[in-house]
Amino acid sequence: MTDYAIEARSLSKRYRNVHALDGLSLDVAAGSICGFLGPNGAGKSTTMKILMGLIRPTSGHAFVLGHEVGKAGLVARARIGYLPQDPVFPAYLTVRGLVTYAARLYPGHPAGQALRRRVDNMLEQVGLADKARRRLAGLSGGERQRVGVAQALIADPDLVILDEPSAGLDPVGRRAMIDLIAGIGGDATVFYSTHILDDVERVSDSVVMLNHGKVVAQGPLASVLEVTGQDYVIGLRGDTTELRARLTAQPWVSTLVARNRGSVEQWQVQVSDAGIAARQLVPMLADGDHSVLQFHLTDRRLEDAYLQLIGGTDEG
Amino acid sequence: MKAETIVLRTSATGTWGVLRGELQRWMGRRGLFHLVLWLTVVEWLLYTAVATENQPFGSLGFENLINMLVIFPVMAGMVLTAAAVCGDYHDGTTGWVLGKPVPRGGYVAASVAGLWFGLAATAIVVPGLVAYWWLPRVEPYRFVTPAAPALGRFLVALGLLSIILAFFMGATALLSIVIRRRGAVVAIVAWLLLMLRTPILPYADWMDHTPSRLIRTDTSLGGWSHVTEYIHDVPFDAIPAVIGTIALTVAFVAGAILVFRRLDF
Repeated sequence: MTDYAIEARSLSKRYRNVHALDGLSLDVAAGSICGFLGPNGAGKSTTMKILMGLIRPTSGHAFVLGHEVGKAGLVARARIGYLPQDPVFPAYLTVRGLVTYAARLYPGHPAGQALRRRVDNMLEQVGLADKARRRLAGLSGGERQRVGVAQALIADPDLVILDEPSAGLDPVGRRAMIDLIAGIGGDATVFYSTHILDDVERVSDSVVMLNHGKVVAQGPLASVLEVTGQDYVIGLRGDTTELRARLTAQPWVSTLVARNRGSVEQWQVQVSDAGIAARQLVPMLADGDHSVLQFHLTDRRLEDAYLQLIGGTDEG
Repeated sequence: MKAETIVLRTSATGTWGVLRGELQRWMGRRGLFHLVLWLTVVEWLLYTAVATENQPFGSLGFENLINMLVIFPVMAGMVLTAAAVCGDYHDGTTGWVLGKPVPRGGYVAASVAGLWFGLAATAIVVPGLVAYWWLPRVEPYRFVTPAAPALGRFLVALGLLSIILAFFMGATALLSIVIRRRGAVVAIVAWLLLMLRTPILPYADWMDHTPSRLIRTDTSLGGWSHVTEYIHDVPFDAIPAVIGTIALTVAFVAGAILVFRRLDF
């Protein structure tokens, strides 16, 4: 196995005058759980479809599990489980029928009772064992999504590509889906798109962020979060004018937002260099005609990184 | 294992999986529905025709049967093929299947083959055999030609009709993949059927290498098509039409696969 389950180099996809992808390059490490983020229309589904060989790129190359997409895509797809966005399955099939149908498309699939046991185990895993005989046409959106995950995982793939697996799920279903993704992670590489950043923080070890068809950030979650710097929350009473002037003059202070909370002035200070801030901030606070009533470091949040990298105005 | 072997094995498994899925569908409700539908339509219309018509030219009963076993299955075949190809393309089902290790060519071939097999069985072979059993027993018919045609020849005729069905389904598949609008596709193929069956149009020589020679009613033959002639022991001289029909069917499906391989899903 190569170091990367997915490698894309300079992928472009153009539809007439629209650039769906614009020179996209990304790497997803083998064995990782990678969240694929970006606003609607950023090109996430297009990227996934190119990786699955469903769309041909206008230019560029992609390799999945070491196989070049397009040339050896068939062999690669035998080791991939894929859940498309808004999946449509043959409505005449039952839940068990669909998962069995999907299993039989993969080489080396079990047969007879062994296949039936495998399908039943998978349905148990996604919580649909009691609905195995139901027709797909009669399922709710959340149940259909779970069937989608079951058919993606039935062949025990090395790479799982899920396009918005949590879409349309209620909070309980969403939590179950995230637990399922976390469970897959030990055995396979998971590359999934979502808009729910809390879920990504909970289970992913790496992220790729896309905007306007370009990767704006990628790598381990911790390194992507670093772009946000760190936020200190400081509560002060007294004359803070001089302190504020000194702080905002520091090159390692990115922003300082002040709010009045009664007699207390609360500052949110974002720093770009956590090391210098840790050394210099406290001595600076001690110097001046004021009292420090509150001082703590906030957690780095993916949402902040997302908004900083992609901007709050792009969300469709 | 060699790379070529892996590709071949993967392709074969995926293609067989799709074909198996199609065939299983025909083993269930869909097959039962079509069986009941075509048995009812063909046998009832045929009975109405042979029990009431004056038949001065002899075995018009089998000519009627052959005509019905061309028209009805071909109409159903073009509608079902267009619905399957266009419908599955637009609703995303095709994209889902192609996300599995299924070669695009195998998907097209298996889908059309599965549909053809199910329709040939339920709309041609079974209604044909049922009619073969009762048609000679109906009074007006028995009065004119007491002997039933040989079963062997009748089975070959059903095979010819199935090949004709494949020709039109292949044409429908190609047009469906190119145009992807089922209404337009059905209209074009229906026009093709009409054109190939109408004897008043001036036929070029090459049309003798198409299903036209098999399905048109040639007045010089006493109102029989070549397939009906064959059933009634007339020497069969439409071999080029059979070969041409098979070759064109293969060409249609191959063309469909070529275009399909370039589509985005």
